[in-house]
Amino acid sequence: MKPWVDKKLIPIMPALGCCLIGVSFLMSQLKVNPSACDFLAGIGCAWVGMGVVGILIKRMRPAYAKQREINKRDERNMQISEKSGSIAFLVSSFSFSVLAFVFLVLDYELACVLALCAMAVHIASFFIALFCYRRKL
Amino acid sequence: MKNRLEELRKQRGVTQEELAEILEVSRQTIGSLENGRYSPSIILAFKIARFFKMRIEEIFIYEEDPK
Repeated sequence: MKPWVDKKLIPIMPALGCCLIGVSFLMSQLKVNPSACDFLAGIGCAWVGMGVVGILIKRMRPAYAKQREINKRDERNMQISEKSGSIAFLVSSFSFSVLAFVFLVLDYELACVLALCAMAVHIASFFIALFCYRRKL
Repeated sequence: MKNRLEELRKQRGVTQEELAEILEVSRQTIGSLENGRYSPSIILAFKIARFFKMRIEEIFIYEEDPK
């Protein structure tokens, strides 16, 4: 099983980040919600940073980069991540339901609906992944 | 599941770091395997057996849980 951030993704991350920064600049020119522009610019900057650091590590410290790659693909690390992920899934499902209930008590209808939608997406993604893996494995 | 990994590794004078590098796993995985805290996948078990030129069942000893 391959890790989510594959080594092929690192070299294109700065380019993707620059694209996001460009989109956020265009959106700000079109007078779109400034918070959304800032959000996109922030993600773009983070991707540029991650990509540049990834490339620098690969060039300047190849042994460390190789060790990082081994650690990423290490089966024990992957099993630990999977187990942690399953616990995180339960905790976040519970958090979403608590959040929806709190918003309901506070009479924030829109926020409550959004929290329920997020919870639905969260659970639906679990069942889609379950269905796909049952077919695949 | 018990294993003879530590014994065999020491017999051959290989460090955990070297074995980890050869098997392309982390050093912590080798440590966990030796302590019996972690059971390897079948692929890793084959890699280990191939490295020591032995059969899997000569390295890993399966024990059923007492009922």
